[in-house]
Amino acid sequence: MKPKHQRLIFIAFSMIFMVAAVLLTMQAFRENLVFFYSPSDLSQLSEKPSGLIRIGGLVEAGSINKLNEDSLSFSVTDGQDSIQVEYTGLLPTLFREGQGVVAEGNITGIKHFTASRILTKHDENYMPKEVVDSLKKTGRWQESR
Amino acid sequence: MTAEFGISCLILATLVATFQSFYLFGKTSFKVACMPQAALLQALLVSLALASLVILRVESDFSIQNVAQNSNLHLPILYKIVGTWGNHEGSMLLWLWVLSIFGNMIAISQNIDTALRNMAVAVQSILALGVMIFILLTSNPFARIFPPLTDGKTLNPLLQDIGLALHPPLLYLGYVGFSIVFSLAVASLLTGIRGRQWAHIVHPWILAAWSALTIGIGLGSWWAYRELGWGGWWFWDPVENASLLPWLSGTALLHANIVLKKRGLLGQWVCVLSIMTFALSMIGTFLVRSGALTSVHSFASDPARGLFILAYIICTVGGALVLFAMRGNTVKSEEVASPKSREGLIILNNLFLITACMSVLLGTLYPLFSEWLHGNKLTIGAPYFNLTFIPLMVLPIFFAGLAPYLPWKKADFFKSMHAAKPAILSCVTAIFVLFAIIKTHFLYGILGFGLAIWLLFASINLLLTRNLRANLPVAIAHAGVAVLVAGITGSGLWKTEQEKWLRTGDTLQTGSYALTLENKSAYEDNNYTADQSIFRLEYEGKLLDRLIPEYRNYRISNARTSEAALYPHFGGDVYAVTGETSKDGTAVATRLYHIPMIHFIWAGFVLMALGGVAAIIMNRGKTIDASL
Repeated sequence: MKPKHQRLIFIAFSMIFMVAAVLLTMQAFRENLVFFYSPSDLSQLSEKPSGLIRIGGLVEAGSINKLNEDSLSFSVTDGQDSIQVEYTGLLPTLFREGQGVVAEGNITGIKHFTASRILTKHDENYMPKEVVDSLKKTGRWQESR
Repeated sequence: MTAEFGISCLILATLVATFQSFYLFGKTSFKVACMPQAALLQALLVSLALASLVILRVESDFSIQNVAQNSNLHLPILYKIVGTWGNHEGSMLLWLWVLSIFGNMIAISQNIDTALRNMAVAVQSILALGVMIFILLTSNPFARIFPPLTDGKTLNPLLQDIGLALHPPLLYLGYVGFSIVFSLAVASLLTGIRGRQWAHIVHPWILAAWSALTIGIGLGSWWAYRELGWGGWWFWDPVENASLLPWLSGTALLHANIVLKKRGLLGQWVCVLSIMTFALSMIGTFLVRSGALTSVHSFASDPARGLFILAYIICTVGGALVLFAMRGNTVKSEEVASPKSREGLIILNNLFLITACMSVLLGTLYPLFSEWLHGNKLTIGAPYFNLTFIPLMVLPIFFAGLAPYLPWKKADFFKSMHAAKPAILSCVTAIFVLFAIIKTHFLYGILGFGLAIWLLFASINLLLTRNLRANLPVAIAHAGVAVLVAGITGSGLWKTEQEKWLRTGDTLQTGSYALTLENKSAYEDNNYTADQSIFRLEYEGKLLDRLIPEYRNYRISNARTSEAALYPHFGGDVYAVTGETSKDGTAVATRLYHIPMIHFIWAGFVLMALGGVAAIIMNRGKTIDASL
């Protein structure tokens, strides 16, 4: 085989791999985007998102309700709107009233959210970036500091 | 006084670096003679600046903002010292220190063409100069506050761990180690010293940086595993991805440079990879330091800092790429690699590694772009990375076992596979036996263990059938990959977890392990109070040990952390972690994990890095071997 042909074969193989990789990536990409919404974002949407989403805001004071031994409900607020969140499982160590929280899960009703995962901050000064932005929008940022 | 001394050293170092960078614009004999001495002076001054900051922290001088914010009187001495780089300013100073030390090391190293060496030192000084200006203008670690505090705030409790002493310095050795490779690449474009000669000079630096980065990433995972209390070691967190990117590109560079060294091929590609690897290291720093992404690593989010680092990356990388566009076409290789030779497989592996690198980069940066462009906030979850990264790694790992058996240039494929026969046969047998025993039918398990066994046997067989000395480094490093893959597969496949509120006498069971709460106690340390839960751990009814996880409350920051208790068993860990106590004070939130084979992961990282170190030692003093 001439070097030219070898090079052509090599380039052809590389192209096939690249295309396969790109297709694989795009497919995985489309299925795994998790969008973030604040409670007021959600109430403005005409069509409720169906897949896995993240919501975030502050845990409303006095809203934590133990449903039984290991499930509970609480409401997440951004100052304008709030949404009821239900969660089964142990909470992260820093989960507390009046503090920032991000919940991952699905919309299961009007203003009702079932969380499969609760993410809180790593330390007292850390606030999820999405939550900071949405609180700034509703003017509650200073208050929660 | 110490603070003023530190800042003076830093300013003097800036002047020295400025002087050094003039070398690029015309070389008088005076400057040529001075380059090594100037590099030494610069490294010395930066070391003194770093030492000043350490002293200020040990003395607890709370008139210094950096110390007041990140240290206090009750902090143990170890964390006062290593906490130096547990904050933005200090960690940038550490970055600069590693950069200067490397600049000095290249300046004093022998067997390098003087013109290339001086040019590399000058390029390295320009890199250092940018960081110095950045520190002086936006992140002065010696800034004073008025009035001084009587006691400082605190170091983030998660950072109060032995991991802090080890992980950042080693990670930076890796990140910044690639700066030398970058400087040598730019210097090669400027001086015209290329090809196999250049590859021989740069190779030990690539190996050193790569080994340090490997260990740095491993230590980071180990730290996250023990401290974050989730029983996981890799979360596809943006900051972890930021360290994986230069590792993938560095691995590609390492292999491509072997081809350049042995065969004189791929000169341009190696040059691009050298620039790209350091660029990715800097992008990692940018992502972490700018506050563009939030995680446990982001100390401060100041947009000015982010913009400065971005400008720095654009100038250095952009400059290098422009230079490459102008001069790169003279780095030419005449021959074409045959796909059936060792270099052919290495090129193929390079393609896979870089594609994997790009897919991780896309997943890491897309949320940022999406927010800038559309205002959408989104995250890209672990499934994306698992779906793209893992399939892309399958063939490279398979080829890694194959490539060392193929000769360079042109190979008779089946003839060269003759030597690999014992490995292939024993591998096939082992895979069958293993699956008869463990009865895993998951594709993931079969693929993972199959690849791990193949690569491990191929590496061992290499030592038995080929030249031991020449193949030892590659065998160790590839065996490390095999052990790592086995660890990832096993811990992913068989990890079990249970969580429950436990009262005294209650038992939590996962697999054959049972955890029973015996009683609770509490104690006070200088800077925290801790609730301890004392558990009895049993394996199939036999007492193994008592596990005592803690739930700590750090007084000053009012932060709570969980200290997991680990029991190593059969290469895995039983991992117990406790959280809050219930309102009535009787029950404690408990999570129990059994993570089999997790120690294989740590061993894999260590073996890979050892392979890199072995390669440096084995190649010492070797000159360019006769042309193939």
